Amino acid sequence: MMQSGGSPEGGQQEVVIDRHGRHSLWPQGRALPAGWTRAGFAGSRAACLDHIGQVWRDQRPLAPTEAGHDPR
Amino acid sequence: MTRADRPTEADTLISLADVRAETPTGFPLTPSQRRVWALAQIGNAALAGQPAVELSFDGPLDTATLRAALDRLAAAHPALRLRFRQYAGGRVMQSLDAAAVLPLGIVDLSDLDCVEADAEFARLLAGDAQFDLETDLPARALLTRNGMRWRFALSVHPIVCDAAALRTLAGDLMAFYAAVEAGTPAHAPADALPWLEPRGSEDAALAYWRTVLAQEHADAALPSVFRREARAGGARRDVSLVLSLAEADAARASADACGVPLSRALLAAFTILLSRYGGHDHLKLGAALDPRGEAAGVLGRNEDVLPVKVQLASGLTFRDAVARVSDALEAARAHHVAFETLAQEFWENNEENGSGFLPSVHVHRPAPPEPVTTPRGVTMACRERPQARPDADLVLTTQEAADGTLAATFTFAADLLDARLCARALGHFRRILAAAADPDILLRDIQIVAPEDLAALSAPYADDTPADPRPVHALIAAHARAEPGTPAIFHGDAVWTRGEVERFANRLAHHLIASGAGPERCVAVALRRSPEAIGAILAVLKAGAAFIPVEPDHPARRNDHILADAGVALVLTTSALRGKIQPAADTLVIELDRIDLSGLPDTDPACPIGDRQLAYVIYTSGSTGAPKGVAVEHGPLSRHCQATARVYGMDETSRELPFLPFSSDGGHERWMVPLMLGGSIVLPDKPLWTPEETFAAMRRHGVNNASFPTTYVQQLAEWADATGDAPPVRLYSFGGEGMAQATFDLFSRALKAEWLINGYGPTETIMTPMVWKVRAGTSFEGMYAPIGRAVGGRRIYVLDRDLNPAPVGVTGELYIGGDGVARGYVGRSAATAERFVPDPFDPDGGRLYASGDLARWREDGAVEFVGRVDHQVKLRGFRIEPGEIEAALRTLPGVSECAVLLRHDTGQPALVGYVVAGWGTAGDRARTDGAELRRALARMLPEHMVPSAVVVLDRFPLNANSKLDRAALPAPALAPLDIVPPATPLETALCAIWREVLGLPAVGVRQNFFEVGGNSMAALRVLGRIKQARPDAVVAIADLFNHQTIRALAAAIESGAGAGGGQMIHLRSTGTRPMLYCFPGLLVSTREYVKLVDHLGPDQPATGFICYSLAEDKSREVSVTEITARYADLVRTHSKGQPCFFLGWSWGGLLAYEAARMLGEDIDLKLIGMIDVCDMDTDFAIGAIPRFGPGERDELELRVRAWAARTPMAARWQELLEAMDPLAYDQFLRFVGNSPEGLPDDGPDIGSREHTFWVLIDNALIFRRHRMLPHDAPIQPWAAADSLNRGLNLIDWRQLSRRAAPAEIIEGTTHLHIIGAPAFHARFARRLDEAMGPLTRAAE
Repeated sequence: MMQSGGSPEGGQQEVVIDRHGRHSLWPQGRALPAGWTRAGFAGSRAACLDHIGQVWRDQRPLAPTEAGHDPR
Repeated sequence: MTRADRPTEADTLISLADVRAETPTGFPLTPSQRRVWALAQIGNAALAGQPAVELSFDGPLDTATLRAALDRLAAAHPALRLRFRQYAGGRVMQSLDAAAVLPLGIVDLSDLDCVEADAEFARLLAGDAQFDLETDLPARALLTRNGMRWRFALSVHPIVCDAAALRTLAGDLMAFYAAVEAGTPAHAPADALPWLEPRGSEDAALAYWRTVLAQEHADAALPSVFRREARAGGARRDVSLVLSLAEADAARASADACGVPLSRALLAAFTILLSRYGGHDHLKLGAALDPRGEAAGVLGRNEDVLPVKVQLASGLTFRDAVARVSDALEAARAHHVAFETLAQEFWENNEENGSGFLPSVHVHRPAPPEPVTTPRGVTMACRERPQARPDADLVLTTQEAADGTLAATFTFAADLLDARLCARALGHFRRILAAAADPDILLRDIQIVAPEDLAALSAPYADDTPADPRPVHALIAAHARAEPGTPAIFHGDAVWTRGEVERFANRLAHHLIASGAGPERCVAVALRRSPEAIGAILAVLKAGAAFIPVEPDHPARRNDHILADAGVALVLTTSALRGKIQPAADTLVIELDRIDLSGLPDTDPACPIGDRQLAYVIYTSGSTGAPKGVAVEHGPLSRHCQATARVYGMDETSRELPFLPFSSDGGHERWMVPLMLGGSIVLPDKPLWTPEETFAAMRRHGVNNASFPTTYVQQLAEWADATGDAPPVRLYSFGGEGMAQATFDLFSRALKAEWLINGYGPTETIMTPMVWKVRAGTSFEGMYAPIGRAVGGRRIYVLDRDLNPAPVGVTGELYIGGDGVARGYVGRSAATAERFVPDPFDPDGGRLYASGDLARWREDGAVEFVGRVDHQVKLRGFRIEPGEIEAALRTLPGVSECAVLLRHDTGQPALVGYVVAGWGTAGDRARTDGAELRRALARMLPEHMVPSAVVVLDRFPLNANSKLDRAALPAPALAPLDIVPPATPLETALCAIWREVLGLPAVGVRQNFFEVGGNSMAALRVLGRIKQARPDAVVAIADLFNHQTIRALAAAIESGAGAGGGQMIHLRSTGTRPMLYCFPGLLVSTREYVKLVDHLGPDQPATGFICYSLAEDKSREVSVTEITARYADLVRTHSKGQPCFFLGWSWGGLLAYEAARMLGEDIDLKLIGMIDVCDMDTDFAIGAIPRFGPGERDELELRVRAWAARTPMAARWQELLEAMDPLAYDQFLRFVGNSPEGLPDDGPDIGSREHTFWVLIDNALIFRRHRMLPHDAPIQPWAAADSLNRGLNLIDWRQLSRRAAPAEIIEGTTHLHIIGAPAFHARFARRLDEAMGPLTRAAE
């Protein structure tokens, strides 16, 4: 059965980041899509997601000009 | 019974002297030859191909030289000199005729012009292709002359040749012509026919295939377009392309690099193509070639279709794939078993699919031989006569041309595969070959969908209007400033103008800012749908904060989760709703009715809003796991709403009725968009309106746009359909669930709209990222209404597991990217990372949202929803898509909405169907019966797909977002069996008999005999018991078929209305079409015809007959004529001269034919359908002399005598044995000797092996004496593909009737299963319609 979100056969994944600081997964060994860079972490899908859960704490855009400023 | 050789009216019984009683000599047919023979027998010779070698001669052709060359050709190839002979029982033998001379017909066409001469040549050639193998040699030559132009063709019967043979013949003939001309002496004639030599045991090879084919695999195939009715036509089409010399050379180079011949690389590319199109890695397909290799070749019918079972993986290189395919092919050659044998051995009753053993086949043809020029200046060239094998659903033929180019042709079943899809797939085959120029390319890196095609498929609705940079609330405010007095919101009797909404929102915004609201902070809006709620949301946005809608009436658990999960610090609600909300202690709750805003400024606070600032958080319905908050930013939201407005064609005159709840994002789209354009909305003042209230409000306020949940559309359309009272509306939109075709059609018809929009959108991609906008009245194929294309700056992709685009028509997962994707899940970065993946198609770097929905692109680029990735279930090893069962349910009368679940709370896992009764009167709805629906499904679906129960509900449970709440569907009540106790002594007695015969603990008088385990054998036993218990009762076997419950049977017996010895069974007694009389085969009752009769529909009446072996008053000394006479009398009386149809299956076909002949002009017979009707085979045919080993006959006779003396049916066997003539007795001994099971002695009960055996032998003795006489009845025969593979002795009806058509072949079925095969049903129905044609016209 197909798993939603690509990545067949439970192969190795790696953590990737775009220029807005957004994290995601990409199958290891495949050419990176434009605009994404390697975060330096690879492993099983679950391990990568765990890693992302730990390091990506704030999903708000990186640049303050892009988002509104939080007055808190 | 034998073929009608020289029949005379007086001679219906036949003596032994009449038939060939010779001992067959020579070689038996190979399995492949048997099939060719059988095809010719049933009028389908062309299906085996009409091979011919065509040569052109330029220069001074000498006919004597040609004649001598032909003689050398025949001498060199003994296959051309084979003679065929058919013996009694259908056995065919072939032997070499050493002295045979190939016929050469020379025709001078010089008085015709060129075109006429060519036409005449074609006509002559077509005539040459018609062989009568019992008299003709299997090859003949034709030479025509038209002035100086010579044309030559050697036609060869496919029973002795294949494609390689034709190439050999062409090359040899040219060489022999040159040799004769040069005076070179001839070689000695060859006479070896190794390909006909009996082959050793195939047990080892079959064991190999049993192991290999037991592994999981799928038949490699292109997706078929139509279902069920698919094979009605049987037509074939083809598409071709030619690879240029450069392309072909690249493919050759790639094959070289992989170390294989070109044909292997092409087979690998084909396998890769089918893997992509089918979504499977473990595949089985066919390769047609000579399993022994052409080098070994002595010319003959050597080509066979070999199964290639291969496992690919997207991480393999092309080189790896070629190696795997090549290994699989070598393994297939090493374990070669004739295709026909494999097809029998591995036949499965796959009715749904209806395909053969290998639905996809590749054939490679090398280039034809080079032209030859002789010293005397005769130039000979081979003219291409390419022929594709027609014996698979899809055949890829790759043909090399002399100039080095390569033609690739798909030949396919036109009713099964879409021609556009095939043409596109062929283009993708070319792209795979091009990519394979680098043999180390990974399969997943092969882009089969061209970038330009992907750009077109993924594109949104055309829209080049630049986006307004302002956020939603600012656009709404601008209209308020421009014309504050214009009405904006109608709510009950209240009307809010733009200015009123704006001032309310501004004041509240100031209050919120003062209360701490600001950017990236969430304010929960816990208000019922109202103008205040809209004002409150606008206020939150104006304050720079993000809103979270909280539905006060939703379960507290959900709302608590939302407030806590999003860390909400501010809640807007009212004092009345306050009690429903339980925020954390430090949350500030603002009750709108308890604050005084009058002192606050009514001017806009004018907070700056960033493009990526948070606008709202909406929680998913949480069908799996806890609801997740989806965070959406201002820029994408505003651009989405602006683009949506343009697709909807809205402006300031728009007045929309938004019916979707505020808990879903779609509900907010439908008020934001009209207000952003300066239009207005009519807000329902209750959570739910009746259709009447809805229409009344729409009429009162002049609504021109209306948006509804799909689940509500149904009732609205039904009401409109019933009352004919829908207000005219410009546009309806709906969404939230897949809309079934029937609902869409009703909706389209009953509601008077110009435009319909089916919206689709996960919350994660902002409101409604995709819509299908069509004019009312548009129709579509498929389960659900298409979900169309993207809106705004988005792109839509249907991708496979490797994120490669799926070709049009191929199911993949739907991905949505571009501008219009949410930020992510609040506080769940891992979940965000998992579902929002890098967009490999966006050069600027972007994300795609993985929807979890299965979809496919249609031809027009619109996307079709197929199902949920995670709804696919596995039950007892079968992979099941519940959507397919739902689609079948929807076709049943009375079903409006439906769902199918795999439940685990039912003891063992079971599929359960749920149905909401459809439109129609209350009475119609009450009649919708789950058990009846389940029975109907059982007739439509393979057994593993039939739900264990179908539950009828008044309405479906809906979740917070008006979507079907699958988790809330009730487990089926294990309904106690409907056991109605007997009311009369007769009913009591019948109940006891049923219980005993069927072995049931209890039966009710309203249960159906055949549904509680009864069959024809059990019916006979019941009848026997009834006669024992009530010797005076007038009851016959037909009564048990006609009255299938105890109550009905008892009533028939009591009233004396029983058939009382009658033979007729009413399969369907109503309907206006001509009656269909179904003649029974051996041991066939009539239950076998139920599925067919169902398929033919309520207007087709049908009657069956009790088969003779079940008749109570049968006698030994009876002829087929006498048996038939009973049926003929019944038909004569019953049909009263009205038009009728006959159907005969198996031996029933003989009865149907004989009845038609006897009745002649007494009836108006429109058609006889002959279903796999075979002649007596060698076992019992008169004239088929059995052979015994030394002493074998005596040993068998002793066995039979000993058995016949002690077996329970001894007396009846004695009677039968005595009735046998010496030949029949010998045949019986031989039959016993051949039967692996041994002699049965479990009689005399009906259904015992012994009784069945006795019936078989008894029938054989009756039927073998029968001889058919010509009668020009209208006959359409059908043959099961398996019967052809077995080379069964199918009757050639064209020998008996000049009105008989060639048989149609039903793939994927057998003699026993053809009667239940949907493909057969579809064709039978079509032929009946055609036969009725003149009737229909006469009635007009």
